[in-house]
Amino acid sequence: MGGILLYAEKDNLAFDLAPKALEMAKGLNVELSALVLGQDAQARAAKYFAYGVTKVYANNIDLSAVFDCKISADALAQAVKNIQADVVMCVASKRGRVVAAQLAQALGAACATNVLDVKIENGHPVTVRYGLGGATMIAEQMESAKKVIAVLPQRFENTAAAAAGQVIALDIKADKSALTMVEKAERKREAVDIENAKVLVCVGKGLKKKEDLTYIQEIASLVKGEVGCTREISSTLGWLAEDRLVGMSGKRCKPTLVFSLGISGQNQYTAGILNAKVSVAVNNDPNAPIFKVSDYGIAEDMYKVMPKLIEKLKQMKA
Amino acid sequence: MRIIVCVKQVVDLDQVRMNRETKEPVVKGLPMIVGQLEKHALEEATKLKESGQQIELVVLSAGTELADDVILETLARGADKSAAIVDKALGSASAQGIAAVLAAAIKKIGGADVIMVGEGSTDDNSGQIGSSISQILGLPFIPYARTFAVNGNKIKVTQSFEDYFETVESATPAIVTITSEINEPRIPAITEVMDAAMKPQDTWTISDIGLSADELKKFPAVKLISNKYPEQSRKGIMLKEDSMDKTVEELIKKLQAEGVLEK
Repeated sequence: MGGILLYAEKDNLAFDLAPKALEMAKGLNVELSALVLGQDAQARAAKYFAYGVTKVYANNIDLSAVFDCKISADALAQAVKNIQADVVMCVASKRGRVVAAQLAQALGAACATNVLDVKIENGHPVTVRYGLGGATMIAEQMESAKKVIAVLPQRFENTAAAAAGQVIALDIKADKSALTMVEKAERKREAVDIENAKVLVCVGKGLKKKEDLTYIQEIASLVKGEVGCTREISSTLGWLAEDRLVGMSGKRCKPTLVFSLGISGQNQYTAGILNAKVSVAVNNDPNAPIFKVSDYGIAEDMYKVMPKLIEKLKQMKA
Repeated sequence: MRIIVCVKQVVDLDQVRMNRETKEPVVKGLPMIVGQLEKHALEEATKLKESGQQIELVVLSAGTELADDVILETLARGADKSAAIVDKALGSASAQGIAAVLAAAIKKIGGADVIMVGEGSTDDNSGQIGSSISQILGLPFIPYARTFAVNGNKIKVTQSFEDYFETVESATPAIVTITSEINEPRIPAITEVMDAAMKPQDTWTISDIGLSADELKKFPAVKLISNKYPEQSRKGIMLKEDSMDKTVEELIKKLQAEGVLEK
């Protein structure tokens, strides 16, 4: 069996996934290598050694002008053929996911995207991902010789000792992209780590206007928590940065306490608070699905609950 | 110009229940609905039509069986006609196999200037189909559209990535995937629903689009090992005292007793 090739569009994403790729390589008893593309590829390649990846292929093809998943996937396909890898492990960021699919189609490989975890069972990689919009967990096994596994961005703990490795220049031919960049605007970002927050105060479309976020922020500050939100609030309305998005398309969190305020409880969101210790929900609809995954529920208008909650939390602290 | 919107029929997730013994979802017999992101795609194409562009909007779907209501809804949402690949052989097809079927159907329709696909499906959300189709057809691929504009034989799309909004231009034909950020799909009017039944509908088997069950089997397969609800034990206690004052006090008491609320 050929080896595992690790790739991500950004080195940090690859470093986060490297421990898992190393575990897979050991479990399957195959070689792990990585592919680094773009500017300063040779110099960047040496940084992979610290994660136990000791064979790193590099090519400085220019990927900076425009993101075109065809160019990245084509480069990966050439690398896979050249070094005879059987498994590509990559990161299911938005860019990574479409590169993975494009690559799999080109290689005739099965492809698993948005993978939460991958383990070896009976000598084969078994991937786990969300099913039914986040309600279930699906375990699958790819039956093709070549496999592409795109793992959701997450940090696996690095236990590898730094080792000496080799950087190998790889010949790759890149076509010209059919896309032209017109404009590039940085997204509003917030330096917030809701994945590791102890308390989360999350808000959904029950919130009527952006200014009312002050209620949520005040509650969060009183319980020493961070503000999180659903997709409507971040992606559709843009009231909060996507760094605060909880759920299947956002962050998977593990707080000891989570408040879900004005959130109906679609699986898309609840998938992100599965590992909360205690879950509290406030929603004016007593039949909202959020109450099924809550420890404590108040079926009332959040606008009646929030001022009272703020008042009582202040009293508690006094 | 012709726009093809690929639509996945999905089970109504709100109605899926858990089998308490096996922890598996019960989906059999549940109504099928139009995927959420596909509604955004249909809305975007329909808006373009309404802006005065000459557009033929074709909706394309594939499955082992397709609900009439799903096809009719896509027509009510603005499609001029529908094409559906209905074949038992699709039951075991992986994303790559489905992409090949859709690509073959697009050719049979006569190609398109723009092919729209949801960025991911409502149920599986693997987000592979659009990229895979573009690989097969060798067309430019622009994922995660939050804006979409046509200018002559070019399209301009703003893509929504985690770090940047990137606006790119491409010549047509091209494949675009649609995010929920792009618009707010409207609910079809009664007249649109009634008109839908009059619109042309094509139904094909895989042999009609030049494929066979044996060819489909050559695409890489993925074996399902398990599909279960995660273990989750929640208390499910609803709090309701005489007044909001007391209800919130009760909540704080409970959370303190749980040891999760610091003073």
